[in-house]
Amino acid sequence: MKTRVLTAAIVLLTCAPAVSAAVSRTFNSEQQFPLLANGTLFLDNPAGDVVIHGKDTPNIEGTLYKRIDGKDKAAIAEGNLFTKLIIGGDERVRSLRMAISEGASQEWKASTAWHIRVPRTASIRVMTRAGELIHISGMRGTVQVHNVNGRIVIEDHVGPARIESINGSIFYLSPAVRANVVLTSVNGDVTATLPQSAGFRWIAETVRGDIRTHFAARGTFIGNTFNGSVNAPGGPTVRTSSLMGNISVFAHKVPVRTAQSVRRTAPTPMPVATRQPSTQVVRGLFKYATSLGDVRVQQVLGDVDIFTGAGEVQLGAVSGSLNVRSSGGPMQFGEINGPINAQTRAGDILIDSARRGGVIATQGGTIRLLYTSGPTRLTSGGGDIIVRQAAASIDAETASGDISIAMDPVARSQKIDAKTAKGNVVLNVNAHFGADIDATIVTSDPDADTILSDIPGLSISREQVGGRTRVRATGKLNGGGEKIVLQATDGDIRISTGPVAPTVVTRR
Amino acid sequence: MSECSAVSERMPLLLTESLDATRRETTHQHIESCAVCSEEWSAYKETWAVMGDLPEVEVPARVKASFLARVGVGVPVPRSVPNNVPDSIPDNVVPFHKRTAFKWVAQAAAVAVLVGGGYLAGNRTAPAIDPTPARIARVGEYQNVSTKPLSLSETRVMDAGALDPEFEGRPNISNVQFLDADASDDQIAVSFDVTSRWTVNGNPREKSMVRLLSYMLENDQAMTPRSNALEWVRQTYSDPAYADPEIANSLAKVLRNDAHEGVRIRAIETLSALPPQMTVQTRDALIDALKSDPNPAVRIKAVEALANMTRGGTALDPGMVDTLRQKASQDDENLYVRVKAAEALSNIKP
Repeated sequence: MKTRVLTAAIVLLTCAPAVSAAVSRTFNSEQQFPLLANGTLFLDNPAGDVVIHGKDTPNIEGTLYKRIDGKDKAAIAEGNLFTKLIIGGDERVRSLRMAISEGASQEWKASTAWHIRVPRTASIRVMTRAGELIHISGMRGTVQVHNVNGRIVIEDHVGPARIESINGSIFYLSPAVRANVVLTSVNGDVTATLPQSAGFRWIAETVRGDIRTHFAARGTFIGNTFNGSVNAPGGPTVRTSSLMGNISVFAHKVPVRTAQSVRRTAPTPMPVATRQPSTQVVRGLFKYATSLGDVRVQQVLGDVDIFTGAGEVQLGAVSGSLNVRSSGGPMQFGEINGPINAQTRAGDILIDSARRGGVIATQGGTIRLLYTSGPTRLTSGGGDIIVRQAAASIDAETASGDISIAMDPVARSQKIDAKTAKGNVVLNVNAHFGADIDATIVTSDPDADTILSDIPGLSISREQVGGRTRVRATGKLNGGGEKIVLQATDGDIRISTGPVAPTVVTRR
Repeated sequence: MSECSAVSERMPLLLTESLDATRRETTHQHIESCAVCSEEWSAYKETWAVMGDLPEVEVPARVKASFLARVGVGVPVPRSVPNNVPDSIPDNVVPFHKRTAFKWVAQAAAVAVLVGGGYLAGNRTAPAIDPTPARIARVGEYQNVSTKPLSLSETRVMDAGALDPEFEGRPNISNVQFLDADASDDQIAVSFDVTSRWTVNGNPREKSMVRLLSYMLENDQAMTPRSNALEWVRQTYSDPAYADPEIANSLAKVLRNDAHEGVRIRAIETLSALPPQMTVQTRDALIDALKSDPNPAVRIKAVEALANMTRGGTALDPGMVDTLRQKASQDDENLYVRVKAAEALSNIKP
C-alpha cells in the first residue's frame, strides 16, 4: 500500500510542472537488469526521483518514468530521443546512468524517475543532482547516496551507510545500528531514528542548528561538534552533521516532542584541570604511586593500580581493571572496561562508563557516573551521587546530598538501594519498569517532603518516630520485580518516567 | 668659464663612458645649461662619429718595428728589417694584441687632441656668450609615426638609421656593451639598457591597451603599490563596455600567484566587480582561490564573492559544487568560510 502511494506521489510530482510547460509527456518502461544478491548497483540520475526497495531475490526490476517537457511535440520527440539510459557493468556491478546526448536543436527538459527493486543484500550507490526525493528501504548492504537538492529517506536499513546532501534533508531509520553511519547535509536537516537500546558513538555537528535527542547521550563539545556515546560504550559510529540545519537522533517509539537539546543541556563540569595528559598510551599494567602529584594518562591497555597522597587522577580509556586510591584529590575516568575500585578521601569523581561496575567512594565530594552496566556501589561522605544511566544494580549512599539514579531505558527491573542521610532521592525508570518498592522518608516537615511516583501501585503510610514523621511507600510497580529500597531524610523521593537529558561534560 | 674648461676636459671621457656616474651627471647638466659647451659637445660627438666612419689602417710593420726599437723593445720582424732591431720580446713586455675597445679609446684620444686644441684656440678669439636657462628639449610624447605598431619587448635590435639622432630629454642608459662581431666589416654595435617613460593613450577596449595592462598586472614589479593599480583596473573595467577576458585572466593570475594577501584580496574585489560577461573566468578564479589559497582572509573574500554570484544566479558546475561542499564540511576550515560556502550552495536551484 505504502509503495503504491509513493509511486502515485512520484507520478504526480513528475506531472506537476507540466502545467507551466507547453507540452509534457512521460514515457514509462518496465526494466530488468541482472544483478547478484551481493552485487553493487550504481545509479546516476541527474534529474528526477529515485525509489528503491530491497527484495529477497536477485536482479533489478522496476519501472523507469522518463518525462520530457518541451514547447511542442517536436521538442518532446527530440527530448525523448536524446535522453538515453546507459547500462554498464555486469551482474556483479551494474551501472545505470541517464545521459543526455549533445546536439539538441530544440528547447526541452528531461527528468527521470526510478522505481526499482533490488536484492536487499546488494550495495547501492545513488547520485542525483536535481530531484525531489530519494527513498531507499529494506536494504541490508552498504548504501551510499549523494544529492544536491531534495529529501533523502533511508528506511529499514541495517548496514553501513553514507548519505550526503547539499541542500536536502536526510531521514534515516534503522532497526539496528551494526555499522558506521554517516549522515551529512550542508543546508538541510538530519534526522536519525534508532532503537532505544542501540549502543553507538555519536558525533554531531551543526553550526547554526540545534542537536536534539531522546537518548541519554554523554559526551563533550569540541567547538561545534558533540562527541559522545549512547548507551553502552563503544560500538559503531553514527556521524550526523549539518552545517546550517538541525540534527535529531530519536529513539524508536518515543514521542518526538520529548527529545532534549544537547546544546542547551546544563553542563557538567570536569572535576580535574584540563591540561593535556602527560602520557598518551600505556601498554600493560600501569602501576604508579606518589606521595604528592597528579597522574594523567590518555589510555591504558591493561590494568591500572595508582596511589597518590595528594593529587588529581585523570585517566582516559582503560581496557582492564582500575584500582585508584587517593588521600586527597579529584578523579576523572573515561571508559573503563574492567571492574573499578576508586576511592579518595576528598574530591569529586566523574566516570564516563563503568562496563563492569565496581566500588566508587569519596569521603567528601560529588560522584557522577554517566553509565554503568555492572553492579556498582557508590558512597560519599558528603555530596551528591548521580548515576545517569544504569543497566545493572546500584547501591548508593551519601551522608549528605541528593541521589539521582536513571535506569537504562530498556531495563525491565534492577535491584537498587539508595540512601541519603540528608537530601532527596530521584529514581528515573521507563514506564514498564517492574520493581518491589520500599521507599522511606524521615522528615520534620511532612508537608514539604513527599514521595511521588509516576507509576501507580504504591501504598503510603505515615508514623511518628522520635518527634519526626516517617513516610513509607511500598508496593509493586508493573507487577513487581527486583527490590528497590529508597531512603531519604529531610527530602523527597521521586520515581519518574520522564526523559533523561544528555550529559555534556565541559571544562571547568 | 673655469667650469666650462673642466667640462671641456671631461668631454672625451664622457664620450668614451669613462666618467663615474656623479661626474657624468654634473657634466651633462652643465652641457645642457651652457650653450658654449653644448655646441662643443655636439662637435665632439660629430667628430667621434666621423672618426668612427674612417677606415682602420694597419700600421706598417717597418714603422712599428722602428717605433719599438726606439722604446727599447722589439718584436719578431721580417728579414727585410735591419739587424739592429731585436728579434725577440723581452720578458717585461706584454705582447700587444688588437682589442676592440682600443679603437674607440684611440678615437676618443684623437678627438680630445683635435677638439681640445680647437677649443683653446677658439676660446681666445670667440666672443663671450652668456649662459642660457635650462630647457627640456621635448617630453617624450611618442607619436605613431611608424606604419608598423611599436611593440614592447625585452630586447630590441635595430639599425642605427632607424634611431633618431636627436635624443629627447636624457634617457638613462646603463649596462653598455660595445660589440664588434666582425672586425673586418665596418659595423659595430652598442648594446645597452635604456629607461624612458612611456605614456600610452588609448581606449580601454583596445587590444594593445588590454594587453599592456594585463602584462603589468601579471608582472608583480611593474606597479607599486599594486593594490592601487588593481583599484584603477576595477574602476575602469567594471564598465560592461570594456569587458575583456584577458583582464579577468590576468587578475586570476594575480590571485593565484601574488605573494601578498592584500593584493590577492584586492584582485578578488576587482574580479567581483567585473561585468557579467566575465562570470566564468571570475567564478573559476574564485573557486581556485577558495580551494588553495593559504590565507583565510583571501578564502573568506573568495567565498563571499562566490556566494554573491550564486545568489545572482551564476551556475556552478559539479566540480565547483563539490569544492564548496568540501569547504562547508571541512572541520578545520574557518567557520565563516564554511557558512558562506553553505550559503553559496543553498542558492543552487533544483
